[in-house]
Amino acid sequence: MKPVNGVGIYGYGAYVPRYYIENEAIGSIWGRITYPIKNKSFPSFDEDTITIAYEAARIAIESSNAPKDRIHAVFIGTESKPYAVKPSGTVLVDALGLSNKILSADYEFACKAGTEAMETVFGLVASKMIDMGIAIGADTAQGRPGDELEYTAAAGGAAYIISSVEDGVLAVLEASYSYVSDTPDFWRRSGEKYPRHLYRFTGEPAYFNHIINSVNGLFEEYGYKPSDFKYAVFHQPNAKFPQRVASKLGFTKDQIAPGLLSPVIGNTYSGSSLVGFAATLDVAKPGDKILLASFGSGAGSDAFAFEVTELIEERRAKPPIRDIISRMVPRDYATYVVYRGKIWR
Amino acid sequence: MTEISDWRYRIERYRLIGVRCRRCGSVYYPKRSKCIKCGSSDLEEVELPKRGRVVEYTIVRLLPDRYNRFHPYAVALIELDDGTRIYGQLTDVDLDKIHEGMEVEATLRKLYEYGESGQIVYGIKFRPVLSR
Ligand SMILES: [Zn+2]
Repeated sequence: MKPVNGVGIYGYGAYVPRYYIENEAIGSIWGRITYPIKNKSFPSFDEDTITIAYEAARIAIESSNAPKDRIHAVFIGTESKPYAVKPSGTVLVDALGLSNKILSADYEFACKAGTEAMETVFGLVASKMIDMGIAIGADTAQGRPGDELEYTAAAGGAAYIISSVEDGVLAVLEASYSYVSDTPDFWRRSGEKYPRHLYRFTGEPAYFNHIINSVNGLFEEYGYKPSDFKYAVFHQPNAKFPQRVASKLGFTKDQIAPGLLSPVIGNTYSGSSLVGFAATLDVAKPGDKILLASFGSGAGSDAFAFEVTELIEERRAKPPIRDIISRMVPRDYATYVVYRGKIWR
Repeated sequence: MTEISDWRYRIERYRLIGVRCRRCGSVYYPKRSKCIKCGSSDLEEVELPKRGRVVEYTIVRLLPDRYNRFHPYAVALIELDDGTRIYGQLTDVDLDKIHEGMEVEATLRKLYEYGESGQIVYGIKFRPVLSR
């Protein structure tokens, strides 16, 4: 997909909660000795997807000095909506002081709901139906105690303000490509607290197949090759998958290094590839091309090609996500269980 | 508080909106209709600065049911960057490591909820600055 009118990213911000738990601390409870990552973030008792989305969007607006009265869409991609029915974005409209003349909705597509929201805002802006919009991917993902997912299901999010190229963007959207099929690798039925997964499906038919198809589709349709990109960011359900899919597609370790955060924050679901993209923008230089490829169970992948502009220097997120990560503090399993509401006073 | 007044006060709670006395310049948060200092009723709404320092604080432990998951917490007297002093709840702090002069900034957090199936009420809290 290629917009007729130029669009791109006006500003961005990313956020992870203050707390993390080591995989080792989870494993010691359940008698496990090998782990998918080192640490995963988890939200404080007073945080949820809405407050994480707020933190990321506030950083995006303040860092880019975006004109709030020209923002006419706020979409949140998440699989951990605080309410099953009541939109999350309405709180952000009033809390961020945006115009009430605005579109708002929650998007769900497992871990790729954030890039799905982004694609929608790109379309609205490119068609000139709105001036600017905010797309957010944020989650406070839960894994059943003792389940494989408990080691990686984490919390965090990123927000992207999207505008036309004429308004000045820090990264131009060159093209995108989406690939979707009915693949039941992971799901959560209505009313259920924890998701379920078919472990056998998680790797090849789901994650690898969909990302490889979206990225190869982007390459074939628009004539890219891996060496065109300075950096690449993939969805990060653990530490291994993004590194393996990068090498399968012909990307080097250096290309994915800045955006690879899963080893220290875990899988932030709808936030995952978007927080990684923010970390990459934090270090990118004008002229750099960046590949972003999300993955959502169920399943699908959105691949995007961006080129960074001169405006990156003045609009970088303040603080950069790695500074926010560096303030994190460890907590034990008991604190994690209470903060996550698994037991009550 | 009820769900109705939670809704009525949401904007000032979300955005830290207080009032400034047009006659003597005194600033108040939460909003009030009459200036304590000079008695004037000519007050205008102002969005207050989102950063400041802890002047003093206390730990709150006993609260109504709707705070079930959200206490104990610290309430601090905070001097904002423009000199206005307000009371604000602290978050993302270790209760034994709060100190006078601690630099804090406003963020949005859950304040309380009306049980598991009721409304979640959000508002401003202060946490240590992410960066200066
Ligand atoms: Zn007065």
